[in-house]
This record gives sequence, structure tokens and C-alpha cells, in this order.
Amino acid sequence: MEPTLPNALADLVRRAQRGDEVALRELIVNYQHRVAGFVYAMTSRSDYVEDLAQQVFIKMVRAIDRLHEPAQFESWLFRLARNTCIDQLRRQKLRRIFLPFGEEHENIPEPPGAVDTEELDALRHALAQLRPQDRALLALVQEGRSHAEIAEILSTSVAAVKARLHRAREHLREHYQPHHEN
Amino acid sequence: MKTEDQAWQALRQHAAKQLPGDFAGRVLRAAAGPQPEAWHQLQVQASAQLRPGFAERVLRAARDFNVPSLFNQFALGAVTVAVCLVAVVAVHSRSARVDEQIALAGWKQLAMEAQEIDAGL
Repeated sequence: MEPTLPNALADLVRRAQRGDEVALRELIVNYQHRVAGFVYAMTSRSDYVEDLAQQVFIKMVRAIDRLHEPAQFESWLFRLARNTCIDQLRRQKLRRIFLPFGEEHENIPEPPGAVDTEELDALRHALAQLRPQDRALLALVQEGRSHAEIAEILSTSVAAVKARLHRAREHLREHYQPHHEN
Repeated sequence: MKTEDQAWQALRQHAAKQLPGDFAGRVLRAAAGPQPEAWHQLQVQASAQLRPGFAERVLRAARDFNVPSLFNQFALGAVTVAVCLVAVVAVHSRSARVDEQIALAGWKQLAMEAQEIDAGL
């Protein structure tokens, strides 16, 4: 499904930039699962996944003609995904100021059966304890992004990415408790 | 066996019963941190949230999505300001009219009372 050759991906992106709907559709189909995984890692909420993934791809469709380097498509797409998720988390935080609902009302636990295994539950719990920026970092690494690409996505240096990644991994390990019970 | 030793043994047994099954395995898994399998499960779980026809829905939504132009945004702002001004003027004139009527009624009352006093004299 996913274009493995960088040239094939660049061609697909160029076709999409010319407004070829088949190419756009192919890009969405190829990346929808990865973007969904990224969104889930960022928000820890399965009910946000489709809505946020849709927002990411709508932004992609609307802005793809402004992407100068088609080969950089993946980094660009995950930057869109990261920004969309962080915006959503900020909005959520802002809403909490104006609405009389507490955090516990927004973070309703996943319904039974939604989370299948202890490991996944523990990972979700551990991710939820991290700062959104650290979650993004770990999710980008899981996406196979290199340190240089992550540095570009986050507009920072490779050294800073390495240091932050080290700290984020330590925090994740601290909070990762497979026997944790919600 | 001494009573104290028996007490310690009972305590150890009670404590041991508090540990969940496969305690060692859980400790080792926690110490190792999340394994690729957990990340994979997260990916699978997330993918399952996308309903069939996701790409078509995105393309349709992107087609229907219109960002208002700068002119439209300005026009909307101007209309909002105008509506607010009209509302303020209307409320102000209404309250001024009511105040005027109250004052007029007060003066009429005063004039009648003055006429009554003049007539009495």
C-alpha cells in the first residue's frame, strides 16, 4: 500500500499538487493508519482519532500545493498532525477554564473492550502522563522519523532532539506500569 | 517455633498473597519499558477507529470547506458592528423616552398641585 521508493512518493505528491484526486486519495489511504496511530499516541483518546485525522488530511489537501519539496512529504504531514493535535489539546485546556467541568469529566476512561491488553493500556496511561511535546517526540520516533527530520519538524537542533528524547523515554519508562489499573 | 517467628512467617505469607499473578514478569516488563508490540497495538487500535470510506469523506469535506475571504470577514465584522450600534441606539432611545415620560408625568403632577394651591389661595 505504502510507496516505499522515495521517487514513487515524490511522483504521487507532485500529481496530488496538480489536483489529481486519485493521487490525493492514494496519499490519504497510504497514510491514514499511521496518522491515526500518531493522533492516538498524542491524545490517548480513541474517540478523537477519526475527527483529528480528518482535520490533518483536510489541511494536507488544502496546503499540499505549497509543499516545495515533495520528498519531504512525510515530515511535512507529521508536522501538520503534531500541530493539529497540540492545537486540540490547547483548545481542550482553554475550554476547561470556561466550562464548569473538571478534568475528570473530559478524560472519561475508554469504554470496556476498547482497550484490549494490559500493555496497550499501560502505554496509553504512561503517554498521558507526558507533556504533549514529549508524546509527539516519541510518536515521531515510532513513525521512523530520523533525529534530523524530527529536529526539522520541531524547528530545533538535533542535539536538543536527542536530549529531549532521552528525557521523554525515561519519563515514559517511569510511568509505564503494565499492571496499572485505571 | 517461637511465636515471634510464626508472626513474621504469617506476615510474609499475607504480604505474598497481595502480589498479583506473574508478578516477576510484570516487574520485568515495567522495567523494560513499552515494547514495540505495545506501540503496534496502539497503531492497530487507532486504525480501527477510522470508519470505512475515510479517504472519500476527507476529500468531500476538503471540497466543501470554504475559507471566508478577507473581504467576507471584514463585511461580517462591519455587519456585526452595525447591528450592535443599532441595538445600542434603540435601547438608549427607548430608555430615554421612558425617562422623559416619567419626568413629564412628574411635572404634570407638580403643575396640577401648583394650580390647586393657587386656586386655594
